[in-house]
Amino acid sequence: MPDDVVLETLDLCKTYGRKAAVQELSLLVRRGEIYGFLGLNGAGKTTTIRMILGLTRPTSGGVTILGRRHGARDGTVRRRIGALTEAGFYGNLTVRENLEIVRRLTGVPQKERTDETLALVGMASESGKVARALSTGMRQRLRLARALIHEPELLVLDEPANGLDPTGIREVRMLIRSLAEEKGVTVFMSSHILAEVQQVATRIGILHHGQLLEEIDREELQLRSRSYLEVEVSDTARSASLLEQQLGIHGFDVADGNLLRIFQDLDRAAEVNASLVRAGVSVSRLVVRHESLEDHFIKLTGGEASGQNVAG
Amino acid sequence: MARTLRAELIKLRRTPLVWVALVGISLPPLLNALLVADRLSKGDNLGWETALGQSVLLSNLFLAIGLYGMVAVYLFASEHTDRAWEHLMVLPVGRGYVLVAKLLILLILTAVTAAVGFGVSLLLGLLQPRLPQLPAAEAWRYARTALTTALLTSSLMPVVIWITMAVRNYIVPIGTLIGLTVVNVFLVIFNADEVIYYPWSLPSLLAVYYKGTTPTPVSWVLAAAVTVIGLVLMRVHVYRADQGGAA
Repeated sequence: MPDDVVLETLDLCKTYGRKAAVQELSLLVRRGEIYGFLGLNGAGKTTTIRMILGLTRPTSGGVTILGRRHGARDGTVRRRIGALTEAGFYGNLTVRENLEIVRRLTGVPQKERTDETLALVGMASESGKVARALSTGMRQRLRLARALIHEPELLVLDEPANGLDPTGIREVRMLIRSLAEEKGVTVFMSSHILAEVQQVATRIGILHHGQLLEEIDREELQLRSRSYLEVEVSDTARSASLLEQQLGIHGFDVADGNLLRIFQDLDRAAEVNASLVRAGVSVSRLVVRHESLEDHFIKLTGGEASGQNVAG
Repeated sequence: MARTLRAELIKLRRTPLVWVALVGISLPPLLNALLVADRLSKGDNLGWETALGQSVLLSNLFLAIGLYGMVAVYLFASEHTDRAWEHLMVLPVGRGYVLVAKLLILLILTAVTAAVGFGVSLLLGLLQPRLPQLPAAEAWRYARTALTTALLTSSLMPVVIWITMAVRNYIVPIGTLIGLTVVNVFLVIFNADEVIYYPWSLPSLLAVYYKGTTPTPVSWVLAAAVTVIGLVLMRVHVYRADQGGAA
């Protein structure tokens, strides 16, 4: 395992009875990456995270974290991981006391680290509040604080945006980004909200029915997320030559059937149309389209995503 | 281990548990003091055996299993009702350490509670003007009995703790504690032959005031077996972090 690989799963499988929750999942997360683990509800994201964190034993396959074969079952590895799961708090204790417990158990000697972490997640003014009185959003911030207090190298976040308001989501997104960019923290985060993952992840893995369908990096994602002019023509060969030679447009491709996808000079749609018609090519449709990750995701999952909250 | 223990102590803040235990343990001494005062007023010749010994027996017979059992159940069930256990399991702390820390907290709370209960008995006894002077050696003997029987009761709790961890609620373990108490009261009051085989009766049999059956080596072996089996079950349960959640 190369030094820059922080997390690796190899043929990870988990079955409950006859139901396969996760199937032969192999992925690799490098140092400093923000890996967005995207999938519908029930896709197997939480099961995977539980296996990564050592909370659930894989049926087969393995997890290697920070070079250790036993992953989070190894105590020295757990010291270097920060985890946000759906786990609760001690309701009778204040926010500060809840965090104090984690500070002590993670072996952080500096008492001031508790206040620093509360400030980091925007909870400084809530420190004296009893945990059971917190709103859903504040609970999620406290979960994040618990994950961050010991300054881990790897953050494993299960649906970090859950319960947060738009401002909270933005703050968490900025925090995740700054941790990765400024402190080199590696982040593995699951989400069913496409927009959220799209904005923060440097790489995305799409999980569906327990299988990793695809991994996309940021550059590819940007390419996939661009707008283009879709033109349905009677003759694609003639149209292509006309675009290049007469209009100087080179950024296009020929899609299925009689479709051309033009990726540059979208504001010249009228000119393109007129030129094609003048050249005797009939144009039956001309429309500006935007293929987002959402479209791609829906395509990949065979349309199942359209019924769930994946658009964000 | 020290940091795990400190973390466990923080968890006790603002819980009603300590107050419930202290108030609870004061009830048998209060009841006993009323009985003693009544009998003294009728001219009965009573000694400290009744004022202190009977109080210790009443606590052991009717309250100890329920009270110390509830402390044990709370320490473990609260992790599940608050759903905090899962996060505890992803922290760099040994699961065994967490168990040991919780058991130590149970023993510490038990000792403090027993000491307070004995203190209340002693204080109420000293307030009775017709009781003779209390020799220090006798006071120490009762104090030792109160403490050892309380600690013995708590050390019999791992099986109940295991049930708590398995069912993750309060209802089943509380029902179990009620059942254990009822059987204990029945066996001890009727001085049944089987009392020596019932581990949860051992503390009552050891109470100085009790004049019935004396525990045999078999009683001790059975009590030790119940404790060991409970501890093993707890350990196995905590390490079997799979199939729908961390223990």
